[in-house]
Amino acid sequence: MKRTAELGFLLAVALILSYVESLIPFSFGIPGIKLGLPNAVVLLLLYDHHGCREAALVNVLRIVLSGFMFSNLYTILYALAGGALSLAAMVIGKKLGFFSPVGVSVLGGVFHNIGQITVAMFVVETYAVSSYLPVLIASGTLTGALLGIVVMEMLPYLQQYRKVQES
Amino acid sequence: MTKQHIKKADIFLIVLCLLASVLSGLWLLTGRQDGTTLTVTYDGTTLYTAALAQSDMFTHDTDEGDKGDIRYLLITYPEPESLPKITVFSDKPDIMEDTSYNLLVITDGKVYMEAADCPDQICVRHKAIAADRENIICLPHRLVVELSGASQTQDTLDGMVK
Repeated sequence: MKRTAELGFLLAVALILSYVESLIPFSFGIPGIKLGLPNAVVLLLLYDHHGCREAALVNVLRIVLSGFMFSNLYTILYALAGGALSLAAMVIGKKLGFFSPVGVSVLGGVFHNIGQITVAMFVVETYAVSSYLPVLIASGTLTGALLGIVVMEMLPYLQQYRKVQES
Repeated sequence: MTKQHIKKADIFLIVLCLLASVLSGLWLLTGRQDGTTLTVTYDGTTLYTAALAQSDMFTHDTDEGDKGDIRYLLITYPEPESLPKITVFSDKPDIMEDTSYNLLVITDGKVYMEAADCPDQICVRHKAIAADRENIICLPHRLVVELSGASQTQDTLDGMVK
């Protein structure tokens, strides 16, 4: 029961981050560039005592809910593809063991953008979209690294909080 | 769990990604020429092809107005399931409120999206395209506007001869 409440709380945080992100004009006329703030919550779920199933659940709910609230059905499609590929990359990256949360977050950011571009390629049925890839890889790397650093700095405090609560 | 630190593998990954991005960017930019042919595609179907140079473009045009160096291409989507309609104008056309549209401007060898009623407006904010292989994509309307270089023009000309 406590876990449900906690996941609900994190979902709310992720939704707020989605909203904040939709307010920031950061696209430079290139589809798919964004800060990826909600990914911080997914990363936190992966590294905190929850597993990848919880991360996937929160992420899918976040995408569907924020899609209906702040954008449209097509965006949901892109975001789901990006989210799925990004989560898979992060889970594998974490399992490999030689990355810190920063590296895992970079993997998530880059693969999120690759996933979105792939879906876009199928939707508009052209390879032209792939010319955005260099920019999207760079932006995924930078935003991923920054979010990774934030999450890495947060984790010890969260763990300490949990210990205090349990004792 | 104690505090984690950035590892060597992270730095390696970041450098690798940035390098991949720069290299693929350079690869796309090399041998870039001016675009000579404009292609408008909807959902994978080619709607409109024309050379960017004026004289060629107006073999497609029924409009007989004076030939300034600016042309407007209005793409409207009257029914969701059928192909969109394309009309060429020499003056900025009035847009009907009730149909979904993209308004493309062709001027001085450059192409840009003047207006559209798509929700994200990414195509409108996109900078003007002029070079070979550059494109403007309106994902909500599944519309791709693409420029291609000299070699592709040759192909279409060959096709027309047949």
